[in-house]
Amino acid sequence: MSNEIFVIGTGRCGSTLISNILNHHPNILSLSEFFTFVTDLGTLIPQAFPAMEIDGTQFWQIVSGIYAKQNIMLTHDIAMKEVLYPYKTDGRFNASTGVPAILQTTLPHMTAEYDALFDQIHAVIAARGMATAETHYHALFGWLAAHFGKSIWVERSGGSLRVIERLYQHFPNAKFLHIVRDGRDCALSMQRHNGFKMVLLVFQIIEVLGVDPYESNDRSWQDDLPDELISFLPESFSGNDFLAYDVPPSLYGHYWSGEIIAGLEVLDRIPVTQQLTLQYESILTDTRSTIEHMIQFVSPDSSTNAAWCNAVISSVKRPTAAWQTLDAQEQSRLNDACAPGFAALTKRGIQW
Amino acid sequence: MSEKIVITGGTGFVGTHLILELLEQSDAELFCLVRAKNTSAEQRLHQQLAQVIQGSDYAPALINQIKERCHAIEADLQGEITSLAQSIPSGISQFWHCAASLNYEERFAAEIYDINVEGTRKALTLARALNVDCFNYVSTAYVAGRNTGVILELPMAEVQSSNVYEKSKVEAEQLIYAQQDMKYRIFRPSIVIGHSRTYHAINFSGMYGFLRRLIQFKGMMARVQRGYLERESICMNVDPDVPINLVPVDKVAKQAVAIAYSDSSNTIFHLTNPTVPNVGEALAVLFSTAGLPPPKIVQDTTQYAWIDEKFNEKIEFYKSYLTGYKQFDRSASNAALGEHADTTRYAVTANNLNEYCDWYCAKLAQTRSQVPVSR
Repeated sequence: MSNEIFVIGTGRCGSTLISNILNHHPNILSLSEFFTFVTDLGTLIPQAFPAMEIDGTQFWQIVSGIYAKQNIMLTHDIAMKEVLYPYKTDGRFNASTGVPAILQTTLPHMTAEYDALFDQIHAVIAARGMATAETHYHALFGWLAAHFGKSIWVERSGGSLRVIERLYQHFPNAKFLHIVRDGRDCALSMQRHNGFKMVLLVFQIIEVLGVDPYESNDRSWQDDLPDELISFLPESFSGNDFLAYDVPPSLYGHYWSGEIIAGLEVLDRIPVTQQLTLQYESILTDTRSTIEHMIQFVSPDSSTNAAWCNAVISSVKRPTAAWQTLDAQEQSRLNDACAPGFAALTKRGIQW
Repeated sequence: MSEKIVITGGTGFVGTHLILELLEQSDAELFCLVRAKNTSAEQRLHQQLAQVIQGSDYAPALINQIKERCHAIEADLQGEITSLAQSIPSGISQFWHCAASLNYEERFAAEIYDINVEGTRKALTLARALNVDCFNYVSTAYVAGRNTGVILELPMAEVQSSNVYEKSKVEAEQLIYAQQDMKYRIFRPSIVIGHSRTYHAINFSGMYGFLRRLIQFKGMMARVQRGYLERESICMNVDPDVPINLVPVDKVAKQAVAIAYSDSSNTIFHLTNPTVPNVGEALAVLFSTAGLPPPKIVQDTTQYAWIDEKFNEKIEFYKSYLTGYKQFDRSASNAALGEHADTTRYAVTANNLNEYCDWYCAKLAQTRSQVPVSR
């Protein structure tokens, strides 16, 4: 069986919990938010998977890149809470220098010696010759697993259904653990999450400017930009305006539906033996059997599964977001927005 | 000795066509106040006029007339222009003031006021210093703001404007009404679109701005949920049966120049189009061009979902063109034009509107880059 696992889902589906509990498993290396940051919040996915062969130096640029969107969020003190690197201290990297993608969350999630590990990885990758991105990723994840004495790696990035096509293309033998959560709760939670707000703001600006303003200086179409979006160009970014900008849950509901529909189209092509779908709510209500089911899929041969289950069950906490707290109109709008996603899941026998 | 004319805004949409009409319909020598940008004022003016000739049905030989009779004078209406009176020859008969800001977002409010109101004030001062016979001002039919019913070719006194652009044009007109010692004419085109035969345009506000925002909104939603807007109609609270007054740019220029050379003593002229589609028909064409189903017309905004609210917010500027019945009276224009008032050539219908829209979409595809959806 494959020792390459991806936890996939929409934004705020509860997959962080999975990363955190798997991190305690003796056989599993938990790679948290790796693809979130090397794709700069999912906005540079094709760039993270170049079609041509690249050498180690070019691959290191992808992995350790200091990307504009995630770093402007550090500069303006609106970083996602998933960022673990202590960028506010006098560390090696900070908000002024920018923090490399792999250091934002992935390495600090693995070890307290993240800076040293960063240098070790650099040396390993820099020595690599020409290869496909797929080969480089396999080598990097394999090296990290071996470095920590683990036999399995599990990569999990928030909202990774957006990247599932690439993941399946580059890791055709990997197993995919799909976490689904009530779209209305996902939407409400995304609304409160700075990373997803940033993504939706960038979507709007890209369509007006015809370029990603964080990757291009072309402002030919800036006059078309509505007043409300000017504060989110990198050159005029305002953290206060960002915090004040209100995106209603229903837009995230549409986003959730879109991600579910597109993601399921890919999952439908993946052999059933390589995938498992779990409802997040089951983890909360039927914790032990759901976690046992999950670990059997992830690490079926491990003798330590039972002890691990006993150890992590108590860390499963019920989250606060509950769409029923919204007013009647917003609930109705959110229901409508999530309806296409629910319909797609119902076809796979998943219902709320 | 040939007539001498001064023109502002000669590189703009209406201004370029006016110059070409003046070159065709008169033997006047033209002095055009033009900003220098990356090229000299003269180069910029001549290049823009050549582009319009190439895109429309003006005779290519007009290029030579431009070189001989069309002189650029570097000027910026946001700066000082009165001293230009010393560098412009005496004996100017007509002053055409076409320069305007067509922006409308609030962040441009100061610039809009500066160009449209203060710019007009400066143009009037310069015209007076040049002792011109007549000051011709290109305004907009939408100085009518939220007025409905028959809109007469009369000064606009009490009016509720829909946005800062319309308000600036009303204030500019009021500066002109106050002129005691100079004859004036105010031309009020409606929503100016491309050339009636080639659909060529060089300014993409108005209808084109609406279409562009529609395409942008569709693109934004495609990043959120692929295909959503192709399945679900956007709701709009507009008046589907009211006419939307679209007028080809060549008609505006031709009629303005013809009126200026008529013996009409009237001062305000609607350069509007009697044959236009209604809002429902026009929206169906615009949405279809963008690859979307026609909007669902609703009676009130309480029926809006969030997406409808967001879309309608983005096109708020255009709402005054989509609601409230306005019939633009053309008595003064028609009387001045006489037999030339025949406008069948310029009819805009649901059947030919898609040609204008398709031309623009092709242009947009050539000039605007596109970021693929990141997946």
